[in-house]
Amino acid sequence: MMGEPFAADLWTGLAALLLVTAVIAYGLELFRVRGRWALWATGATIGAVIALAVALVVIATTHGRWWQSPLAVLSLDPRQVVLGLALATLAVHLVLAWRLPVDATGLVVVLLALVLVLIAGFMVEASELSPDCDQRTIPLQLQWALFLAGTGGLAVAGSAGLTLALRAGLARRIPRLQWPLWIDLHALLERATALALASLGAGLAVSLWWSWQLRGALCTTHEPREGWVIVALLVAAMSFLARRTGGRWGRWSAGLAMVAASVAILGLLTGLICCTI
Amino acid sequence: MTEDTSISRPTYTAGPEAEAPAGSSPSGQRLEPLSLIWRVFASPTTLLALLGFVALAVALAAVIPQLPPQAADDPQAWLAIQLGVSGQASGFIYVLGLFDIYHAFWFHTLLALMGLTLFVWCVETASLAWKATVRQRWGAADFSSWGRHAPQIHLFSSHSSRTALSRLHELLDQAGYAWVDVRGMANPNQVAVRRALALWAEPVVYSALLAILLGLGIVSNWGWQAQGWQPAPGESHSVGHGTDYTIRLDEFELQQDEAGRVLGYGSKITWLQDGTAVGQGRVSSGHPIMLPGVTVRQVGYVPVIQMRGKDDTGRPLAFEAEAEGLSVSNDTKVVLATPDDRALILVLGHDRFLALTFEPACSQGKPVLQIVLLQAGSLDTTSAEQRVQAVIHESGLVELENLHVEVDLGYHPILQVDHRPGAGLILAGMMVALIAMAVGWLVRPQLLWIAVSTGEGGLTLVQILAPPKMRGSLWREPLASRLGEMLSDDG
Repeated sequence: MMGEPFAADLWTGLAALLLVTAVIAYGLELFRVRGRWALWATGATIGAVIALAVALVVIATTHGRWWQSPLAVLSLDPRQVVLGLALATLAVHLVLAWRLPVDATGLVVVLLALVLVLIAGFMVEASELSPDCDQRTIPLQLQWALFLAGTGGLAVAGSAGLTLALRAGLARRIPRLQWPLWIDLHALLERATALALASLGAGLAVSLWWSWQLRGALCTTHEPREGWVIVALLVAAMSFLARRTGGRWGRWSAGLAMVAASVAILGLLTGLICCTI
Repeated sequence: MTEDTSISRPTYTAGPEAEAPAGSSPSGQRLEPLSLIWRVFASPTTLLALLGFVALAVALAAVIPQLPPQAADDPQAWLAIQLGVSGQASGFIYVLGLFDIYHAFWFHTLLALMGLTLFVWCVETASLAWKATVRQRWGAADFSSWGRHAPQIHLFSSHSSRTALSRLHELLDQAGYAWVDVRGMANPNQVAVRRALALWAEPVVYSALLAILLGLGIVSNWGWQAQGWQPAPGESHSVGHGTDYTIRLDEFELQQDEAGRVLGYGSKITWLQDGTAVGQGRVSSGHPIMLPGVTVRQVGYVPVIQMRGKDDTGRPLAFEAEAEGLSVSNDTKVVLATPDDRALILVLGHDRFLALTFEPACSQGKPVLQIVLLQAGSLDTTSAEQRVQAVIHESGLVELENLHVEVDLGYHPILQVDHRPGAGLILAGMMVALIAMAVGWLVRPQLLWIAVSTGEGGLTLVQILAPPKMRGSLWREPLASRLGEMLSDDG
């Protein structure tokens, strides 16, 4: 019988392969090579989402019954956080970019997810993970689900921001990046930032409420990751506000979205490193 | 029909500042100091800058070690360690108050400025929502804020202004807009609004954020929190702090499965006033009991270790436990203050210490009491030479070299009593802000100022403006395209 760690690696590898397929398909679609590449790209991305979800379930199973506390274990295991982040990024992009022909952002999003999956591939699986009673509670698991969804939203917003920033240079070579397609990029940026604000805000509200219930204090367990989530939330709010205000501030929106995405992803990863050390 | 270049570009890239819509008269009033201050706080630049500074402060707090609450009684000792660790750089950090950012004066000032800005934004957006939903009367004076910026969309048409206006109204009807004429304007000006009620979402978000800041101020300046209390069943504790409550522990229950793994824990308590029981309830982790002015929480549990023993010769062991005020006894009892605490017990006549540490576990394992036998004079349990001598999950006999120690292991809850007004305001504020934000985002209210005038060459000029803080929305594009089509010669 196939061992569970090996099975997890297999599913992660399959996800990486599907993401490579999606990258190629998105690239061919952007350069208008004949063929139904957009369909291939979407199909491969959906396949990667499924493979990543299965990999996460398999990993969680090795640490106990996954349906009881998958996110409790996830929050402690750097490898699962990175895979969860890749999954959230792809899922948010699939949902938000539905019917929006924003292929260039799709390419950036899939590339980002591929990098995350490759990073996870090089990570050593955490051995003994035993979350305590507080970490197994539903509010804490909900908080983690919301943080991951919010960071995924910021990753998509940052990808849209990056595409917008590179648009001027790339539009000459890539016809698909020319007007009026970039209006869709702005729409995607706005939607992804709003989703991230709602998810991260709700995650923080749950986190504060539960910390209050447990200890009568609004500060949580002094996890550095929560501090970075607040920073990412504030920068995302700046991006959203700049976008709505328009005028000269509107130009800052894309850049701020990229900063917020970087803070959220790096904060989550560096926080994990701090916790592990 | 000809179009200005701004129709084919999103509004934030609108060209240089254009003139105000023809026929309008933006006020050129002399600014008063208060009005100037108001404008500074109402400016998006101010809010964005403040958000940036708060984000920077929180990032610094995540990077620089912050004074922990348990060191608050003696911050100098904690600071001395930090200053010693990274030398002169720490001195600079200390001077700026970066070791305790959330209590620094400059951070409180930043939050106060943020509060003022939110208040101004709340008033401005509420005023706009009021005019759009209740008052529904717009005059030339209202243009003073809208007209400070360039119109976002210009449309030129060869039709007469009357025809253009008629087609504009037709389009607004089709798109579900309600519009009113602006009074006191030389040319036809309208304010059109769609899903007007949702305009209230924005002031609600700002007022909820203001409530959060207010709650933070109340939480950090009012209220109290008593030290954790580890009672035995039947023990009572007077709450104090101006209340006449006394809390009594009736029963502590540690729920374990057949294998001894902890499933949960809770305490049954009774609260008394003037010696009379007035209520009873169960408190558990995350489920506190709220009394008027007092909250009782279960913040954990600690082991209660009772020990007696003898050596190889059969002589009873005498223990000197620090926890009991250095008392000597053959039958010692130790209650750890917190689960992370460590107890040291001197075994008299044997030059040995017993170091007791505890690991509460949940579901995955059983709670564990570790006992390390130490040589007197070498109390470092982290040393590689020291090994855990015994790991016990329940009461029993422990053999430690030539010592035979009988250990009775029990548990006490850690109960905490506190009163923190303001927390409810923060949590309610967060919920309201999130809901209002979601409503505003999903419903997308639309508000437009439309001016129709005769432009150069006898062409009819239609100018569309959005309120100052709503200029970046994309929803105007479809409307502008459709209006452009309707105003075209064959439209």
